[in-house]
Amino acid sequence: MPRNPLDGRGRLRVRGFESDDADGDAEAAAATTPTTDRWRRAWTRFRRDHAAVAGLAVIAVMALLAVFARPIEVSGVVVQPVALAPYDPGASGIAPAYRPPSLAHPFGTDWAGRDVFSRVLYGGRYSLSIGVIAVSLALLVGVPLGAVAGYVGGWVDETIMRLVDVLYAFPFLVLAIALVAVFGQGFWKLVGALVAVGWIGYARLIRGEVLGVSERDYVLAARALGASDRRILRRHVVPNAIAPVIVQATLNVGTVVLSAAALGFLGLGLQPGTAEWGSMLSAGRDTLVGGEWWVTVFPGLAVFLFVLSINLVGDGVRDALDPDADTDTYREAR
Amino acid sequence: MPPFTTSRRQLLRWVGAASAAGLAGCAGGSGDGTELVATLGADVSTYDPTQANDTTSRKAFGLVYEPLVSVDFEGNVRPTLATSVDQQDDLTWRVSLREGVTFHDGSDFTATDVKATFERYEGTPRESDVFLWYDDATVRDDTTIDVTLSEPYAPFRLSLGGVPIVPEAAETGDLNLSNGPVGTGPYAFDTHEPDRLYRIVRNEDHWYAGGDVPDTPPIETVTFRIIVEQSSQLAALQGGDIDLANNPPTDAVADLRQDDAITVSDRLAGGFEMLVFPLATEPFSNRDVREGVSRLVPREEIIESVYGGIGQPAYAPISPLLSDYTSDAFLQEMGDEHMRYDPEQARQLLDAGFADLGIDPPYETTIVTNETGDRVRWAQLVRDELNRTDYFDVSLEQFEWNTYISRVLAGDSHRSDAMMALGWSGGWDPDTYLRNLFYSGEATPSCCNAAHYANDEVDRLLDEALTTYDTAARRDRYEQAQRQVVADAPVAFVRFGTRIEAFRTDAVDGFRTYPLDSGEFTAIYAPWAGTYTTTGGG
Amino acid sequence: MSLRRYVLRRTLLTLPILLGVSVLTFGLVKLLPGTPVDYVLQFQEATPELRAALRAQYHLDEPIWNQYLLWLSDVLHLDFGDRVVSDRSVTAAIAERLPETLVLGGAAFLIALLVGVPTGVVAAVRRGTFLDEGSRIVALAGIATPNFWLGLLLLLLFGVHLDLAPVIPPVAPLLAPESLAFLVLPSLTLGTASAALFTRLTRSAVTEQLRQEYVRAARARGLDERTVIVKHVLRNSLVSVVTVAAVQIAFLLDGAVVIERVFSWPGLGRLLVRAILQRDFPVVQAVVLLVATAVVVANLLADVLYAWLDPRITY
Repeated sequence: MPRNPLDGRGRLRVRGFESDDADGDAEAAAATTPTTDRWRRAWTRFRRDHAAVAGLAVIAVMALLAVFARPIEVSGVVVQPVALAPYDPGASGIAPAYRPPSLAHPFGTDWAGRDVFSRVLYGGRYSLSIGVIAVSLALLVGVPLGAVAGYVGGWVDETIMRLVDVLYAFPFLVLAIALVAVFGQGFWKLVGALVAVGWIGYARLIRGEVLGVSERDYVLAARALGASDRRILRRHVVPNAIAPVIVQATLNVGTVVLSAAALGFLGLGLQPGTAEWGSMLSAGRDTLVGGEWWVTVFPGLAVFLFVLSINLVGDGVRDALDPDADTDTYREAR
Repeated sequence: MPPFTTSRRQLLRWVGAASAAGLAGCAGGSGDGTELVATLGADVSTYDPTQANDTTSRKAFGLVYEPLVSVDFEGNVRPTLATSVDQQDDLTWRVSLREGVTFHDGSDFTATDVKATFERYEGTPRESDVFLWYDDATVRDDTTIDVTLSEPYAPFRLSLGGVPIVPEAAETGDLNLSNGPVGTGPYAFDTHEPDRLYRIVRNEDHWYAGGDVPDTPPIETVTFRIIVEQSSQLAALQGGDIDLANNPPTDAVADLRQDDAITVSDRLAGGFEMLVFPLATEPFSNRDVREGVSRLVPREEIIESVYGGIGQPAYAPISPLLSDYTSDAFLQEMGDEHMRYDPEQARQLLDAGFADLGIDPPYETTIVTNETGDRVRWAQLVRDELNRTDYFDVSLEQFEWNTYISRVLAGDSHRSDAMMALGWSGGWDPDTYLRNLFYSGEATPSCCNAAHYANDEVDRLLDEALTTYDTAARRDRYEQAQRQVVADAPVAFVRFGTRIEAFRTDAVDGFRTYPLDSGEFTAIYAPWAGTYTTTGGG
Repeated sequence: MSLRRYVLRRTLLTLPILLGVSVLTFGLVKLLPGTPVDYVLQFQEATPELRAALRAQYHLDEPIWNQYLLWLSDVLHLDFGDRVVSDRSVTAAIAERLPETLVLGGAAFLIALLVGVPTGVVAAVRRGTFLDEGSRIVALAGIATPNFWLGLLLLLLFGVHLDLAPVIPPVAPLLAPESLAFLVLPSLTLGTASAALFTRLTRSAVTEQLRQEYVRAARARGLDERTVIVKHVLRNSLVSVVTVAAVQIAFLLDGAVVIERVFSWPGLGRLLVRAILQRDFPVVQAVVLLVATAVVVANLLADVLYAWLDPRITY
C-alpha cells in the first residue's frame, strides 16, 4: 500500500508493525515487500497446478537429456563427458538405412543409416536453445522499447508503435523466407529471423501494461518525490507490468520451436542433415507415405511433447501470477 | 465443365458398396477409360515456347505443339511436320513440309509459319534454342523452306526437334499465345486452372493417318494435376486420385515396386550430378587436390542410400544415353584413371597436393547446394566422407534455387570458397554435355562454366566437333575432349541421371519413360515413334 | 480524446503503416540475391544483349527508389502490373487464388469458433473439474502439434489408409459439395491452433463474466442457469473473444502457406512463396499489401470495438 509522503510530518508514528523496512524511502518500501510476497505466493499457486508441474518436469528432463546427450567441449576442455546418445548423431552409415526400431536402434535408422534415437536426444539442444535464445533476445529488444514507448508517450511512442504496426501487418513467413534467403541458413540467422518478428508482441504488451500502471498512485507519488524516470520505470513500472509478458514469453517458446520447424519444412532451417527436430520432420516427410514412420514420428513426438509441456508451464505461470486474469491482458496471444 | 473424375471412393460414398462392385473392373482415377490424370510438380508458367525456361511448361505444351522433326526414345530423328530434311550444302538445309496439316485454330500449316516460328525467338529468353545456328530462312513455296545456318552445325536435325512450330499469327500479333498454346499436335489446349490443373483434349483433326498407331489418340482427355508436395503426390497415386506420378521420391521407389497396383518405370536420362570446383581458389587450383576429392566421392554409397540403388556412377560428362559417343568401357577407363572412389589413392593425392601448395590440412571449406532433395543428400554424404579424412573440415550450405543460381552463375563463381553441388541436363547431342560447362567462352556469367575452366585444346576440339557433319570425326573429337576434361578434373562427376515414373498398373497401358525431362509425356501419343498409351482396363 | 477522434486518427494512421509495409517488402525482396532475370534465364546461354534487354524490361538498372516509385505510381492507379514470370496480370493471378484462400481460412476460422467457443464455455462453467482440465490439455495439445505434420498424418490416414477422402482437391467449383468436403481436413489442420486459442479465451472471458454482480442478480431473480449463460454471459464474453478473433484472421496466412502446400490447395500462400523464390516483385508486393491491409483493418476494427466497449481505457 503506497504511503502518503506527507503522512510522517507532525504526527506520531508508531513503527515496527509494518513488514517493510523502516526507511524513510517510501518508494523502496512500496516496491520490495509486495513484490517478494507476490512471487512467493505465485510459486505456491504454481505448485498446486499438477499439469504445470508435470510440464516443468518434462522440460527439465528434456533439458538434461539434451545436455548429457553428447560430450560438450569448451576450447578443447571437456566440460561434460557423458554421452547418453549411443551414436554420433551426425555419423552416416553406421547402420543399414531405414531399419525399423530395434534394440540396437530404439528409434530406427534414417536414409543415411544414422541412429534416430541419438539424433532425437541431441536435437533437443537445438530446439531448446532456439526457443530460449530467440525468446530472450526478443524480450531484450521488445520490453525496453515497449516500456519506453508507454511511459514516455508522445512522438517516441508514436514512432515505436508505428514500427510495431508495420511489422505486425507483415506476414511472418515472408519475412523469415526473405531473411533466410538473404543471409543464408544457420542457427543465428534462424534465431535472427525469429527475433525480428518476435519482439513486437512483447513491446505492445508491455506498452499496454505500462500505460495502465503509469496512472497508479505510487508511480505518481514517486514522480512527485523527484525520482528519475528511469528509476521509476525500473523499480515500479516494469516489475508490475512484467507478469503478462513472462506468461507470453513462456508460451512463445513453444511458438518459436514450431515456427522453426515450419521453416525447416519449407527448406529454410539449419544446415542440411542437422539433428534438429523440425529439420528431421521435414526431411523425412516423404517416408510417411512410404511406411518408414519412425523417421518422422519420433521427432514429431519430441516437438509435440516439448511444446505441450512448455504451454502447460506457461498456463501455470499465468494462473499463478494472476489468477483472475482478464481476457484483455492476453489479447496479443498468438 | 468437364465431367469430374468418378472414382471408386466417391461411388462408395454416394451410391453404396453393392452397386460400386460392378464398376470395380475398370477401377482407377478415370473409370471411363478416356481420361488420364497425370501430375506436374509445379504450375505451368507460360504457353509460349520462346518464354518457357522451366521444364514444367515445356512438358505441358509438349503434346500441343509439334516440331518439324521429333527425336524418339532411342535418339533417332523422325519426321513430324517435316517429311524430309535434306542437306544442300554446308550451310543450307532444305526442309519439305507435310501437307494438309492444320493448327488447332483452323489455320493451315505452311512454310511461312515455320519461318515466323524461327524469327520470333529473337530477343526472347529461349533465343539460343534457334539463334545458336539460325541465320535465315527462305520460303520457296507453301511446303518447302530453306534454312541457312550461320556456321556448319552438326546437331541441326536434333535441334529442330526442340523448336515447336507456332502459327504465323503469333508473330504478327493476331494471336496471343498468352491465352493458350495453339499448335498442330495430337492434343489441343482446353483449360488451365492455375496451381490446380492443366487440361488438354484430343485433337480429332490430327494429321496422322495409316500406320501401326491409331489415327487419333486413344486417350480423350489428359488432365495434369498440379501437386507440389511430393508426399501428397505419392499419397494421391496410392489413393487412386491420379494415374501417373512423375519423379516419386527415391525413398518411396522400393515400396512402390512392391505394390502390385503400381508400376515403376525408370530409365537412364540425359544428365548428371556433379561437384564443381572453384578453380581460382586454393587448394582447388591444384589438380591433385581435385582428383583427390573426386576419389573421395562415395558414388556407390550415394546410389544406394540416396537413389535406392537406381542409376550408375558418372566418370565422364557424356551420358551413356548417347551410345554413339561413349561406352561402358570408356567410362570404366575414366573411372579407373581419374575418378573412382579410392580413399587410399585420394590420401596420396591430397598429401601431394597440399604439400605443393604449402597448406596445412585440415582445410575449412563449404559445399553449396540448392534445395533439391536428392542433391542435398548426396552433398551430405560427400561432406561426411571428406570430414572423415584429416584434410578437410567441410560444412554444407543450402540456398533456395534463385539465390543459389545467382551465386553459382555469378561472374566470380570460380573464386568462391565453396564447392558447388550441381546438376546438369543434357540432350541428344554430345555438345550439350560439354560446351556450356567446359568451353572457355561459356564461363559465368555468360552461361554455366562455373569453374571457369579454360583449355584451348578442349575449346578447339569442341568447335571442330560442332561444325563437322562427319560422325566419326565428331566421335573422335568428343572422346579426346572428354579425356582432357576428366584428366583436368574441374568437376567431380557423381552420377548419371535417371527418370522415374510411377503409374497405376490398371489405369495406364503402353506408357514409356522418355529420357529427357521436357519430353516426359511423349509416350501418350507419339505415332512417329510408334508409341501410344491407353488407359488400360475398361 | 473522444472515441470519434480516436477512430479517425487510427484510420488515418493506416495509410503510413501500409506505406511502411510496402517499403519494407520492396526493400526485403530487393535485398534477396538474384533477380528475376536470373530466374528467367537460369542455366541458359544468353547473350549480353539479351540480358541487358531483360534487365531494362524489369527496370533493374534504375536506382532503387526509382523502381519503388514507379511501382507505387502504378499501384495508385490500381495497376499492379504483370507477373514477371508469365504475361498474366498480377491482379488476375491474385483474383484467381484469393477466393481459395478465403474459403480455406474462413472454414478454418469457422471450425475454430464452432469448436473453441462451446468448449471454452463448458470449461468455464465447469471450472476446476476434470472436463475443464481435460479440455485445457487437449487445447494445448492442439497447439503443440506442428501443423504440417498433422496435415500429412491426416492426409495419410483418411486419404490413403482409410480411403475416405481424396488426397488432392476435386475438380469442381470452389463452393461445390465435393470441394467443401475436401476442405474439412485442411481447415481442421489449420483451425486447430485457433480453436485452442478460442477455447482458452472463451473460458477466460466467461469466467470473468460469471464473477460479475449481474450474474448473481440474474440467478437470484430465478432465471435458470441455461438462460443466464446463453442470454447474458455468452453475449458479453463473446465481445472480447471476437476482438481477439478478428486479429487471428491475419495469422491464418502463415499457416495457410504450409497447409496449402500439403493439401495442394491452390491459394494465395503458395503464390506468395513461389513469387518470392522467383523474385516476382509485382506479385510479392501486391499479395503482401493485400494481407497487410487485411491485418491492419482487422486490427483497427478490433481496437475500435474494444475502445467502444471498455470505457476504462483512456486514449
